[in-house]
Amino acid sequence: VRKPIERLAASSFVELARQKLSPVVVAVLDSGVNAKHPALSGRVRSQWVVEDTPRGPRVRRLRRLADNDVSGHGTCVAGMVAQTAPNAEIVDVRVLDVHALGSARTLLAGFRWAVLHGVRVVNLSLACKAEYAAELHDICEMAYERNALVVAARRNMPLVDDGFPAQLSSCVSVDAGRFGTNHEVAYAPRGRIEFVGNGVDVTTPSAKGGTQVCTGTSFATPQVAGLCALLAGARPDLRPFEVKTLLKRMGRDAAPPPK
Amino acid sequence: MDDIAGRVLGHLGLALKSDESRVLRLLLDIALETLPAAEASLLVAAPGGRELVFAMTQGGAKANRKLIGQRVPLGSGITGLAAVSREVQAGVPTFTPSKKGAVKRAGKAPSAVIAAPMLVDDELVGVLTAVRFPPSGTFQTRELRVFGQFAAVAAVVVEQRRAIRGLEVLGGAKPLAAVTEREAAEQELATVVAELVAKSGGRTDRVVRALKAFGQAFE
Repeated sequence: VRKPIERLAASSFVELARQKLSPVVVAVLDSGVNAKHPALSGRVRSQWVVEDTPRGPRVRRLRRLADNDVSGHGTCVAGMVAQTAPNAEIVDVRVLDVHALGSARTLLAGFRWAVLHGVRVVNLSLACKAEYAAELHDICEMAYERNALVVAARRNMPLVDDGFPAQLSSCVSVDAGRFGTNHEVAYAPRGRIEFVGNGVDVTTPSAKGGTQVCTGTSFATPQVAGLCALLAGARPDLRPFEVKTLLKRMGRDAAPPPK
Repeated sequence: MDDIAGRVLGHLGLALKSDESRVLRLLLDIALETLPAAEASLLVAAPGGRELVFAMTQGGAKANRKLIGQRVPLGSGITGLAAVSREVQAGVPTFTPSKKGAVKRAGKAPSAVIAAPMLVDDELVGVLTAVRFPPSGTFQTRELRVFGQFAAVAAVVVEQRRAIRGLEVLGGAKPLAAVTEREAAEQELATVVAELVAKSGGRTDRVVRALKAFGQAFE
């Protein structure tokens, strides 16, 4: 008999992070990760690069752990996951080329690849335009069916839309707020973006070594991805909607947006 | 310095003394007032798309004009990251040990940096940046959104210049009448500023103050 989801052996994320949890694979689709950074030592499971070739995108594995970050963004993102969830095993999927330029084609290929390869949590600290919504929707549905959680960032600058796939209801969508801790989350009862993570003045590993202070939904998203990894580590049988339910239950209500 | 700035702005299809360049400068001023921040800059995406080049600086010391013409690789620092990610980025600047010494000798190091991409359709045409110095704190989520809106307005200015250029080409060598061009610019600007006010999230007093300054500058 399956235990009810309420019967987690912890009432808070802080408590949960202190427990022995099952390892959870978190894919970071970004600019790459500096796996040699001390803060990520032993935390990066594998590294991959999505290359745009004339025959279509190709996913290539790096033979040994390396500094795979072409812009510094991905290392900060992976650092947030690692800080939040001690049980997270990071799979670095670089979707930008060596000039730090990317295309929707490589992103979609990397996203599909991650879902098809059994990743439990996919972190997308990026937002695509609405023209890719249909393709992203298909991959998110596939992720849902395979019990993979897609955690996606709201645009920092939501002029036209909140960004895709964050706008899709099959995702855990994240906005940025200030909590001062990585073990809190807020639920937003209205709007398309359901959760607010810790993304203001957060200290993350810098790709060049040391740490740096950043602000934005890019950093709130991996924090929430880390919380999802904690929940999935405590109860590997949780379905995506159950993880969302627990995030809401264990979080607080987000402050209403200013009028 | 004006020669360099003129050449860099030329990548956007703007002349140094044009109305559009003045509007961009005023936008930087309003952004400084609205955030608030100490200094703001406009960087232009260089042809080839691998670098950004400083084209304008507002606020701060005159020494900042030395930045004009300096290049920033895409993906480097918070400004380069905004260009690559096409998203507003903010944080505390980090310096390598060698640069840290130079920054210390030159005076105060910024306590916070914000950068927002200027996009025309899918094309990155530039980045707006602003900095704060101690004791001012870091930029918050709301400020990221407001600054992003300034970058969107700046991009509209560039887009409009391009559209006018396109119409001029279509109509032969004959340029559009200046009055029509100005009217169109004012109409467009009024729309985007109205949107800015609507989206200021309860801080309209600052936007109003900034707009008044904008009006005085025009006089």
